Amino acid sequence: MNYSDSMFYVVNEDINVRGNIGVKKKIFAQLRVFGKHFPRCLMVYYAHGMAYLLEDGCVIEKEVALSRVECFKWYCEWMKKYHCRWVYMRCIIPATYSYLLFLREMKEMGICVVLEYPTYPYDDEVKNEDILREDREYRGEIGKYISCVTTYARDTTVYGIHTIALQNGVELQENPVRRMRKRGTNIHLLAVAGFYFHHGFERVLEGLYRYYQHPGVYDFYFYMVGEGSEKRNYIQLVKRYGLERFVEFCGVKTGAELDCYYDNADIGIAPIGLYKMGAVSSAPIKTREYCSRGLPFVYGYEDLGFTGEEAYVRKISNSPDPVDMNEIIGLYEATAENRDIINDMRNNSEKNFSWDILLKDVLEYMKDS
Amino acid sequence: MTETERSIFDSHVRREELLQIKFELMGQMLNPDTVKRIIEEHAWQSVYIYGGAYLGIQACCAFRKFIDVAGIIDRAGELIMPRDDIEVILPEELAKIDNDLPIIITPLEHARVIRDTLLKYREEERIFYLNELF
Repeated sequence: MNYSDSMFYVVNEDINVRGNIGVKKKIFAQLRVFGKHFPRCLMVYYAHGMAYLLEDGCVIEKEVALSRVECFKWYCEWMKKYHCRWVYMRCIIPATYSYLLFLREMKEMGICVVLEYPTYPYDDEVKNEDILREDREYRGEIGKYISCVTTYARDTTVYGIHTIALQNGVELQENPVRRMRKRGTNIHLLAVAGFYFHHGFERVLEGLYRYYQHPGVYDFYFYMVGEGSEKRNYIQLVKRYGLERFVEFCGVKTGAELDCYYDNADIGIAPIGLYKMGAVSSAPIKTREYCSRGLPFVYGYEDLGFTGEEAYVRKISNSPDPVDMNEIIGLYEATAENRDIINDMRNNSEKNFSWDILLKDVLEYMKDS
Repeated sequence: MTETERSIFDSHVRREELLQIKFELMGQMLNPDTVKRIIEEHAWQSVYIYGGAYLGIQACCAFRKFIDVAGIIDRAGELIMPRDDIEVILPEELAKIDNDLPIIITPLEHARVIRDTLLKYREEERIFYLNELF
């Protein structure tokens, strides 16, 4: 490794939009780890017709790039200028002809490219048939130009390319342990998310509706923190089911304000709609955040980081069925006012979900190449 | 696909991407919170807008809700649609004007060339591309 060499992290979405707060956090967390292992670590990204090169979060180069082709041209210029030897890149969907040319150029420059697929398979997630058709046309050729892919799905090879299974991690210092609420007859549910269709929170709303047909001793209060394309549908469902008293849309919360919501919560709701994307396994950031904060949670898929047998989780079906609120009551009764559970969750996070540990295989692969 | 066909196809793609960027910017400028945030981040009191086409006029109207817009700078000295309430000046007139107000460039296709021209009148850090603000 030469000290003038650099590593580029290529981001292909606008990380400054509200819906991408989680993605941005993850990217910067990964960058911090890469920064420890490579002589110089830079990030490039593209938004509103501008290509940017950042170092330590500060823009060091910027250029107008009115198309992806122009953007790729600037990326390659900067890679030459800053002696790039390694690239870690989030995938672009759809794969296009110009994208393949970009990958080819990096290969010709002798750069080791690792491509991350945050979601795989993704065909069911892409709603635009034109985008999918274009992607299908070109994605089979990606393997000609890159040698390694990372993804969060289990037991998968992406387009025949050598694949490293990743897990999402957390920045522990940004996710403090929550305070514990007193046991009572009110159960506070918390969902912190970008409200995409695959979160499937309508299953909770339908579950609440069913529960309140024949209510038990517990009352549920569902706090939905975040913004996103599905919020409108959730609001409509809340009205239709008459759940206004039990569901609160809190908007985007960060920092101390978000900490308060965690302190006030009993059970977290992780994604429960992955069936809509045809996915059976995943490793979303959210479950790691809930775990590091000590908030027991419900999820609905195979999670790479949890077996489903842990005392602080309930794995429910990966289907459109309404959530059985008795499952949540069972989890609440097993975990409420239990300090050991919180400690257990935090320890698990420290051992298994720190990015330094999770990126170990990727780092070894990049250094050896 | 032949080379010519590929080249025609690529130019259509580029044009579509450019239109998409412009469309998004037109929309972003309709959001007063976004415009206010940009102004506050830069601590602007008054600015010039470069470009008398639709994006320039939209930017002028959006920024004027919060700060003074000293005028639109346009190479042809006119707006794409006449507006009595907006002063238009030629780029070379900047040499005679004694201020250091920031300039926001709106014609994206020629942004780099315009910026190079404006460097005669302004320090680099006082010149902004409209699309980098969002």
